[in-house]
Amino acid sequence: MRFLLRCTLFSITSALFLSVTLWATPPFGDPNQPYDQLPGTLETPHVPWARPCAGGPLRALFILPYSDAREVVEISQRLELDYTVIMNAGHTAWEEGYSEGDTTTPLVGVEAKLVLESLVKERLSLENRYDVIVIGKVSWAVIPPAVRSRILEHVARGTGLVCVTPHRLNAGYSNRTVVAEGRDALFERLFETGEGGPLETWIRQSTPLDTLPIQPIAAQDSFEPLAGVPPHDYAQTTLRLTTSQHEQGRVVGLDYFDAATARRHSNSLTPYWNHPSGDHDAVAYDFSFAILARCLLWSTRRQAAAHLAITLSTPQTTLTAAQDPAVRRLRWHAQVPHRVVARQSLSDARVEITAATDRADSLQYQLRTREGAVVQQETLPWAPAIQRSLPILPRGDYLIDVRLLDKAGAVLDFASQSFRVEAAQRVDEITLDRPWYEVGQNIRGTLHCQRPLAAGQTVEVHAVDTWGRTVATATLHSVANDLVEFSIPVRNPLSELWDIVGQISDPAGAVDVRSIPAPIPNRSFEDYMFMLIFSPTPGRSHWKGDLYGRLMRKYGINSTFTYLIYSYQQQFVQNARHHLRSVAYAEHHGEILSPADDQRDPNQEQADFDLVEISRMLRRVAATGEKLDPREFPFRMQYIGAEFINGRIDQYKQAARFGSPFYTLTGENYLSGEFSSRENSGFGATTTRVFQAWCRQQYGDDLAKLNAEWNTPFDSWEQVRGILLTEAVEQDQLPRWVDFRYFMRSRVWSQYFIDLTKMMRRFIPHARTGRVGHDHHDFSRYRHEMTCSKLYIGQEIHPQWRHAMTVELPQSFAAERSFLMAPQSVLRWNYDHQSPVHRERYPWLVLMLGLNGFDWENCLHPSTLGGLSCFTPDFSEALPFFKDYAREVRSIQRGIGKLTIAAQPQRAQVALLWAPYNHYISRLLPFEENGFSGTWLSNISVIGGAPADALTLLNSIRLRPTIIAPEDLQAGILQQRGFRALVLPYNKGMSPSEVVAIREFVAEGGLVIAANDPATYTQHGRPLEEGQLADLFPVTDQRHLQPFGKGQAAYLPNLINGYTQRLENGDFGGAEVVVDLLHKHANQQPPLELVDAAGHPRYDIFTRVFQHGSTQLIGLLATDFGEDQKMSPVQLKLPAAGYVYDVRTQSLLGFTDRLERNIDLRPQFLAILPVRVESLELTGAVTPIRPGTTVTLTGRVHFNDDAQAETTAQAVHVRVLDAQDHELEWFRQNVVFSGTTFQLSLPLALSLEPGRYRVRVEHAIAGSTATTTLEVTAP
Amino acid sequence: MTCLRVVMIVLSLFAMQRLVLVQAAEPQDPSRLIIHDDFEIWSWEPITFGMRASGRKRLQAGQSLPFEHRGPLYRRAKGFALPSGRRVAGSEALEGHSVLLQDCQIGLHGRYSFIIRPATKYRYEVSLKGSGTFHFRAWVGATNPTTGEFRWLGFPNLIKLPVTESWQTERGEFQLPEFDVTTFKVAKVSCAIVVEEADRILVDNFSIWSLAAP
Repeated sequence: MRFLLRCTLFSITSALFLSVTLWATPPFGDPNQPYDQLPGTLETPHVPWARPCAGGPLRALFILPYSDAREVVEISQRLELDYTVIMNAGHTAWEEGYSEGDTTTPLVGVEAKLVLESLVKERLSLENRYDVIVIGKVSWAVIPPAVRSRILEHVARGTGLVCVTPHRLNAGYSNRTVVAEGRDALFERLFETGEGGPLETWIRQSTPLDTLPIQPIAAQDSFEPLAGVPPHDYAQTTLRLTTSQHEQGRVVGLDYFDAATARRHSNSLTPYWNHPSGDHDAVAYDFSFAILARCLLWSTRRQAAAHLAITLSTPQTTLTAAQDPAVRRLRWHAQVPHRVVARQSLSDARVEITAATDRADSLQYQLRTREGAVVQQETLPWAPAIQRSLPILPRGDYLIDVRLLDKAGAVLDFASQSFRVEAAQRVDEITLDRPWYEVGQNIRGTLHCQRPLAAGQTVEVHAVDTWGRTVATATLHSVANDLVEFSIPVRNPLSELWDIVGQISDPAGAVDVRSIPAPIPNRSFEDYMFMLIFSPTPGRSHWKGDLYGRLMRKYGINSTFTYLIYSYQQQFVQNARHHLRSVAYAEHHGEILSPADDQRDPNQEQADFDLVEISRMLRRVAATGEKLDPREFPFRMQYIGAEFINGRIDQYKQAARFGSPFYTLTGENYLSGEFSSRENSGFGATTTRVFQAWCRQQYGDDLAKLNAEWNTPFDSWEQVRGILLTEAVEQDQLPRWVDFRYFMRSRVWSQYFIDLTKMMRRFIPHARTGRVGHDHHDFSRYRHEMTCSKLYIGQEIHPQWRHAMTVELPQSFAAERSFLMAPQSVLRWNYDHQSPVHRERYPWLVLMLGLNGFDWENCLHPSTLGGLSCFTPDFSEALPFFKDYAREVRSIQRGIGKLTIAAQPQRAQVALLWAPYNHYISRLLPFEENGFSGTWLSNISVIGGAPADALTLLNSIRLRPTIIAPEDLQAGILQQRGFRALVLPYNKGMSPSEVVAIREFVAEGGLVIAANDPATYTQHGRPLEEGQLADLFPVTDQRHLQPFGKGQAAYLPNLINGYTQRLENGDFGGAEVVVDLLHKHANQQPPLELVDAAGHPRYDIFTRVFQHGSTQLIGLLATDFGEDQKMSPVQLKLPAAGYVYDVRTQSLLGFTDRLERNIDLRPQFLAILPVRVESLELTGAVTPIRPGTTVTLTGRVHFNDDAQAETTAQAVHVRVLDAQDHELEWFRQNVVFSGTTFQLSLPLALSLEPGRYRVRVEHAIAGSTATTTLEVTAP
Repeated sequence: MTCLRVVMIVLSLFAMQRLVLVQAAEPQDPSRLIIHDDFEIWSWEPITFGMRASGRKRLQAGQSLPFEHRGPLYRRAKGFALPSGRRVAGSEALEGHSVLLQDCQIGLHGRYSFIIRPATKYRYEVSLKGSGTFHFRAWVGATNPTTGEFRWLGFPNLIKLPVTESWQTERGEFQLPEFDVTTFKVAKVSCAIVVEEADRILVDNFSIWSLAAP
């Protein structure tokens, strides 16, 4: 009955969990639920076309998707509005948007329905009077009939209706193509019939459509997509306007024909377009709102009657703008102004502005470049015809914008006109001698002029960094007719990219300016990283990516995942321009390359997978550096084959232009069938050949030995091959399966990524590689390759204990070469988000775990009702939970993060043996007491199981072990590195050489601690009648200590197993036993002791100790036993007295070896120095300095005893501020140093404004500050 | 290969013809076969994480597992998503293979879920042997459409039969009992064959037909 009861309870619990998904976490109304929050306080660059608006604000109701609600604030910056918003889920989803899991952050289910119904009822009530209702690309078929009727009731009594991209796509948040069946006469009458009429005329006459990626068409059936141009690759937009009447109300259909694509870039009020370089065209975006503003004004009968017009009179010219045919092919029209002005005739050009109104009082006149840089701006008193002349301008496209104002300063009308300036002379091309430059190299290049320089014409070349600073002027080496050679030394770059700007000038000014980027890769990643992942990011997400990239840096975001996998090389450039470090998502390799791969029959051998053959190709490229001949390597595994590899070579060469801390080669890809524990690959021809060779080596070329182990009757090595699990079960050949699967994981899967890394390094020097995903790798093989990762840890309670194995494996095997990150996501309201103290803990936990930072995944899906964000949907305000994270991140980024990352973790002389073939032996024993790993993902994750329990135990007693592998044992690592103890948590399978090494280690005085019947199987998985280490472990049914030679062997049943779970429940049973064993028989003591008020050890406090010189950094994180956890006293006993600092408060706690602390769930981070910081001083040149000089400052730390400070590692955080306290962010840095002095180098740009600047440094541990002033003169 | 393809086509046409005949017969016989478990075809499937934990506890308590396993796989009858008892063959079986159930329930997830509806009559047939009582039990869950709250309405036995030491084929009808559905509406009905701790029952040819609504 107990079994039945358990099943019933499980069912009940499952059902209750299911019911929870009907509610968002946090719920509607919670400050951390962004749905329906629209403060509208964030201002972005814009032209206030009709703001303030003559006649006062329009009362407008917007119905558009939650994720695009920012666009309401955007239009209100340009048109004076009193707005109300109803946010639905998406263009094809009313309230049922995307969600994931039982703690999903969007509103879902009943809550979504009720909340949206309630908001619609209130905001669409006929008691409200709106001038206009705007539908932002929400399908008419998706809006509930009652809501549509209510909208039309408003329109019937005179409210305007503007529908942007009217369409009738069916409901379903992922539907992009399926249109509702049948015709809808009302829809057609409202939005698809009627001409654009006066509205269209107004828009065409006052909008510079010739320069915009917009193609107006007259009728719906004249729309044709650009042949051969995928919209997601390069898209312009079509524009068709309809106007109609519904009883008293005017109706506008503003159709951009982008219903299927608009969600990609969060365009609900603006058109979707896409540029291959990922550029966000802010000027065109601005004009989109000007078009929308006119639609709103027309629909409310507020269209201007002024007939404002700009007339440009210029002499005729035959000059035309050159066009790149490759780009022209992608466009409906050239996007070049129709009106061309010869530069030499600019002084003869006249601009005339006219309007038919007597209400005008003044005119705002603006001349700007097509990129938006303002050249002229003035306010002029109104006269019936205003004339302006044009200044001498360089070649390029320009815009004239005018706003006609009444006496109150409100806008009566607005208009723009484009023109192009052309010249016979121009910079044709700039070329550079290298794809990228190291610091210290010379950038050598050539500037090609269209024609030989005329008298008075000069050439100048300079370098501008991504902060807009002119950092160097080129030396011109030769000027010959139309060719100029130049060189620029790369010194002290403060950005990863310099634009090399070439300019031809004449006495009137610049004739033409052109630039080319020169990457200067920064391959140093020493600071604490906070990275965007699967979020809007510059170069990828139009307005949202551009805004997000700028906004998030304020919150500590300093990097972004970069899609090298899709060959988005331009994203590296975009990142550099947005001052975000790139982290390359290079490949997503594995046998699972598409969802279909997961559906293969687990009982059939999948021989078309042959990773070893691909490995062979990679090794050829790694050896030769040459591309492959597909005839020699014809094999393909889906898209991966010789042609693919050759293509990637080109991409890697380009990617080398920028730094990346590591290159992700795989994610949630697996060997076929591996995720569901039904592996079915490994039967390819090359794989089988290599398997045969591996078996010969494993079995010493003795086939009889193999047959005996496998229970097979093979006559020759050629018969040897892998086996499916089902067949192994049926044929009683499970050791054969163990060998095969271990071979596949270790020698095929892991080897593949080793080979891919070596191939990549031919083109990207010293590239570090890694993964994003689970732990289905043989980490013991990743010593020099695949040492990095975004680890799947956290996002639940107790990650410091539960997930330690995932972190420790790469740290133990590749400490010096690893770059490891933790994950964080707003997909679900996970443990880390749930309370302020959790949010306070997470960034510090990441640091204590020795990781390099964590990522931030949000704004993932365009169709949700709330959630999935850390901002209000208009990005005006960060949500409280995100502010908590950001506060801690920024604190860590002020030096202590870099210092900790540079320090070495303290480890005990204790090794833990991790032999990965035991994973497969453990799989044969599903009901054993404890496995090799232990969660429902145990086949692909190392979380849980006996090794993880042993690691938890050792971590909790503050004796952090080092994980070693069988080959380390055989190589004598125990003796070489002075290990005093070896832990065997799960080593049932053991090779004879391991047995010998362990026996020798103990005989020579070592301590071995074991559980789970070590060496009772062969390494191939065959059970033995007597264990190979029976002499060390003669008693296994109870705790036993066996002397052996000079050492001891301890067997600890029921002590290591389950320790993690016991600890989480406050039960530390067994910890003392291990403490005593390690103390008595291996002389191991923790680097510090933590005891409670009664003097009992505190094993619940996760402790990490880092050493850098004589500086010790200590992180303490209490275990979460519940929300009501109170502060508890704890005494720290240090091995020697030192000056103890609380790093988080930057306060000195005293000189002591005994420290009383109160600890709760908040993280504590301490530093122990042998000396006391007295003060900080900054000295160096303060006298007048010319721009272009590199200022060197010397910092000095005064200690109470300078002589003792020589090896004391510290960090300072540096900021430079101008006289108005604005930071010069490019100088921000953390300097790690040892001793009393440090050097600071500040390369001043040639373009630095003269004035007084303050350099401020802050000691990361003590908080002491010092400031000095720079007096910068004119050049 | 071509020959095999022809055979497959012929067999498919034959099967389609049968289907047409069954469909054509429906107006005369409103019953519809919704379950027929003859326990003839079994396959080796991976032991899931949940099975490992519960199986370990059973073994530690000195109980046997209610299914057969070798290494990481267990044997499961076709159509079931989770353990379906132990396969028996030979003289102990009714014919071919039968299933032995002891202290377990089978079919709750997948096999017998969402097949039973309120206000509908069903006919069953099952062959049984052994000792104890055979139960076909329903888990009736409901949700409040206004709040989304979930609750169980009850766990009624739809079939309850004493079992004898020789094979007996039992037939009968059942219907889900009525529940108060004023606030909570029936959302899902899952069922399972339940055999309690002390009982040992062999089962074969378990069939259920849906009859016309009363």
